[in-house]
Amino acid sequence: MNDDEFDEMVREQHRLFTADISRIVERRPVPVHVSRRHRVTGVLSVLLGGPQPAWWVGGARTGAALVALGLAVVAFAVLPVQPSRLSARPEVDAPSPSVIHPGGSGCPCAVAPGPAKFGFPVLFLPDSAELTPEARELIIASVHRIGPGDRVLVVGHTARIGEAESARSFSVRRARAVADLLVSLGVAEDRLTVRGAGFDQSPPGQNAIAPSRRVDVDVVAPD
Amino acid sequence: MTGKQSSACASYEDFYRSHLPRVIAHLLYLGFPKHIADDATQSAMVDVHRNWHRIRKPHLWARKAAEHHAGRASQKIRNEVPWPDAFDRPVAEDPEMAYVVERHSRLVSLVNELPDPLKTVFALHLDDLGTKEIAEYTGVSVRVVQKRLKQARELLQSNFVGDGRWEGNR
Repeated sequence: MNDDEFDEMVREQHRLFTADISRIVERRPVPVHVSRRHRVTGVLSVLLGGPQPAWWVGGARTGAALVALGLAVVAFAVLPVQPSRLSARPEVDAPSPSVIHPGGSGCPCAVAPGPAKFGFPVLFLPDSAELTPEARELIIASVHRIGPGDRVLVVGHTARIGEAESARSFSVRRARAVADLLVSLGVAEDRLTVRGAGFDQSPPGQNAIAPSRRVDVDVVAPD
Repeated sequence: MTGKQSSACASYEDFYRSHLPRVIAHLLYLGFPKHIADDATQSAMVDVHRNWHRIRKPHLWARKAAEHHAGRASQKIRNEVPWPDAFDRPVAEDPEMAYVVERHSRLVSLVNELPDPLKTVFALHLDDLGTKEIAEYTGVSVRVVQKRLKQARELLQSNFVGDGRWEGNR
């Protein structure tokens, strides 16, 4: 086989390879860089119902910064931090209200959870709150270890991308997907606590992005 | 959006669609894991969009940027102390991507097994880049590129064509 024949053969393999990758990535949206100025312009045009001139955007930004600075100065002068208020903080923070449980008296959420009997993370694909077949298998394989009286804490997480508020609501969707499967597998709904942590507990860095797309399931033994 | 901006966006989109798979494949040939290759290519494409009007050869620029991002991500993995235990567990990879890479694993592994200088040159050569462009990309002379290509072909032919293993990948 001469060099040209060899090149043609290997390139043919390469073309098949890239064509297969292309079929996977063609559904993805095209990523673009959005500068800070365009982000501000975009928000303003949504709020004010039309595109705004650049000078207006710059002025609004400066004005907003001055107002924020003024408010900060006023808050600092008028509302001094009282040491007694800091010391009065409870040692253990109560868990935040869940989606399923409102957090009232008698609700399992109202009690700080004890040490977890066992737990496992359920990983998700980017921008997806749907369980992958592997994740489904993992949950099905683990559900028999959950005792009838155990409490299950399901906390969703997202990668450190986008707005914190939308990440939180998205993490709740992930957590609910896991909780729904657990309920369908026989775990009592009143034993489940579903929460979304957004990316509050996700470390920064590119390596942490994929592992942050997860839901932590912690099983706590009854008191 | 002006007409000029619109056409620039359209051409960037065309570039993205045509080159994203090729840049991912390039990183896989160089031995980066699937999830790093995917994420690094996306980051590189955002960089390309940011510098679209300044870049003369986006196809080379995107590969260089992707290599840079992937290198940094790999370096971080090597240097980082494992954070919580959950982070040591396997990452969620796109199952379709895993399937495709598995399907073409023979090609990926054979390029990956080449020595580093030959690997880069041959990966670029696979992607229809000329020797002049490869020389520009790698910072060596055209003559060195030709020499490395020859060495890569010899190694590949002796290792993989000689024992007929190519047939299994089709």
